[in-house]
Amino acid sequence: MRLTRPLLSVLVAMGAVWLGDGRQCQAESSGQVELVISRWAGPHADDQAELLKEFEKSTGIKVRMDAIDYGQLRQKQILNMGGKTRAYDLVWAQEVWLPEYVAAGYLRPLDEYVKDEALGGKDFDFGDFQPSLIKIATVEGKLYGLPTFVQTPLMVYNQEMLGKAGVPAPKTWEETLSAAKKLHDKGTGIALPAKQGLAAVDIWIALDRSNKGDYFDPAGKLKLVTPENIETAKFWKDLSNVSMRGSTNWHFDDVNKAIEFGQADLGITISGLVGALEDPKESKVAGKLGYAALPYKNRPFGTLSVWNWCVTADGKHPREAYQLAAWLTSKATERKLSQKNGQISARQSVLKDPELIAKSPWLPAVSEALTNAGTQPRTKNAPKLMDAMESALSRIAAGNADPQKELETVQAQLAADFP
Amino acid sequence: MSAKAGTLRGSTLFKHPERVRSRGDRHQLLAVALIIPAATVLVAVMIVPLGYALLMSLFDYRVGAESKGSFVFLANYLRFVEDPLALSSLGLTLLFTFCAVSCEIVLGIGMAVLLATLPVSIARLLRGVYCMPLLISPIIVGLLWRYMYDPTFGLVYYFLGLTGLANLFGGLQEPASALFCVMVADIWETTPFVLLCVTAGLAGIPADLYEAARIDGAGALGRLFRITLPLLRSVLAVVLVIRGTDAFRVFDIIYALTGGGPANSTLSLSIYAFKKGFEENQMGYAMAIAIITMALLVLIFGPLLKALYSRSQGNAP
Repeated sequence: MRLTRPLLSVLVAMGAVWLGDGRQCQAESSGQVELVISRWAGPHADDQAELLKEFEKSTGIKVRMDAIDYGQLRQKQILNMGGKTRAYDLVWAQEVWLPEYVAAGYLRPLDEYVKDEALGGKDFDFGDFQPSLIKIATVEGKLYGLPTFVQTPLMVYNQEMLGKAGVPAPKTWEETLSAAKKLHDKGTGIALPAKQGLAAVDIWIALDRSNKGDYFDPAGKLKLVTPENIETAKFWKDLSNVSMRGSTNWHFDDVNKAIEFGQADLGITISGLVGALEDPKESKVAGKLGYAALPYKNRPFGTLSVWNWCVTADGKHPREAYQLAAWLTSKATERKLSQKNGQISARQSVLKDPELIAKSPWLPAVSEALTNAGTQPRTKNAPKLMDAMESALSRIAAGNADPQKELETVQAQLAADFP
Repeated sequence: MSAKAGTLRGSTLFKHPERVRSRGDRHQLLAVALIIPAATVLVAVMIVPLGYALLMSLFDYRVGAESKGSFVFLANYLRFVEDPLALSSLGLTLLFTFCAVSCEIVLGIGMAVLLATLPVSIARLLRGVYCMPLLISPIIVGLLWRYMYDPTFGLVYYFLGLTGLANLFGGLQEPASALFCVMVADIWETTPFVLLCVTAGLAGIPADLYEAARIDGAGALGRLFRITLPLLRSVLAVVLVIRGTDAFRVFDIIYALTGGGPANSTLSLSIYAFKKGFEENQMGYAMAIAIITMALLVLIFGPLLKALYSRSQGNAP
């Protein structure tokens, strides 16, 4: 009797632990493969989850999606893959994370799997991927991810409202500044994602590259204090001065909201969010918008961000995980997702699909931005550079700091990290 | 006396002292056995992680690549002292803690005292309403206030607009006012905690003290400063320790509201440690910042805790 209670408690505790991994246990014990995939949460994840049912039905493989907030995604993936918890079979990783993941041994090379055509399925045509994106997913000569969901910042304007205000659709720096000033004088301005964060740095480097500037000189040395970079930083300051109130604490989603509700007539958002702007159920301005690449000095330039499906090194079912990655990035699945939410595909055939172009009026602007697009640096110390630039651009936009001095400060601050 | 002693001497206790010892030993063993599970949990969840953090703060490493880290001894701690952004975040954290906790305590006491003067049914209803923010997670509070402060669709600017003050208030978008906005959100969320504690403390003050003070002609302020506050001293000390340590470690509400910006004007120590650890992959430095935060908390609130403990020991029956 004395032992009954403690024994029962132990059994209950063991049961709880077992139930914690219940679904996995059930699937595994019935001989059915269950894959766990990691990605960010949101409408895109919901659409993908819906499509995954087709994969489950056709292959008999169960898929569980661990969709969490974007802000915590990298941290959670690293903690799991670093701790070799074997929790994930497939992870969705941004291109800037790949070198770090590969260096840490978190990912499995996909080259052998790609050669196995039966594994990819008949709709998987490797040659159809944008070659530049495959290059980005290749680290030290080995392929570590299948690219999908390309993102690039875009300029959006309300054609009707700009017409009424007598403001022509802007394209260059000068035109954009002039349009934003006119709108600012009328009480609004340009909706700018100038919150201290990566969005601002993504925009700044695209503006800078359009001005023939960059973080590094041709020899690969960090060189921030150049006439081009200073000029771009000054333009960033000028643009911030004629931005909508609140812009210095806005991210892309806040800009989207301001445009959606018809409060902003001109703004900078990201391609992954523009689908919502054209949805008449959500947006007051659907059908009234025009799109352009980011404002440019000499030629349009975009900052490219691409998500990749990567098979983890510690995953339980690598072959099946690759099979799922191939299915998720197949032509048919990519087309379906693009139709559903305006996703920019990594596949050439999908981007050229006339039906899709008719449905997604921003695609020409995306193509224009991607013609000369570049990624953020992907070296080991790149996060330090990004963080320092985030602070500097925020001080320029919100703190009215001197652009040249800010660049000099960042250069001095990072001297030891970028010798 | 001798008869009593004689009786005792004749009892079984004195006849078999070894039995007493063995029973005492058994009790002691049982006590140790009962403490072991709790002690094991304590060591496993508190001491081990703390020791690990302390050890890893002496290394320069990335998450997932701990074995490839290099031993840098106290370099991460020295770096903190020389890092202007770290020192600025320490200053901001101290300012935030002092201002937010002071306001919360003053408001909490004021509300609790006012509610105590109202009829019980109304006081209960209002207390329930005022305590609602306590039930919301800080990250949600942050998101909620982020939209409240938005100049385009936020309520704060709507009301400021009605009074013509909208253009004078920088809100979250200006470095000069961002920290103030964060404090307001924090005060809104945590003042109810102070209200609850003080209400509980007030219930323990004998009503006849107030009665006597009234007869002696003491006014409301006199009763507050001469009876209520002195008798709430222990409660307030506990509130100060709990809220003070919480505010010093503030993370979620700032993360949701501003992420530390604009221009690092709301960068708390915890946000700075998070950025260093998870955005810049400098886990050793992030650990050192966490250890420094803990050491500062001990330095600031340790004496208060010690005083509280001595007081409770002194008052023990």
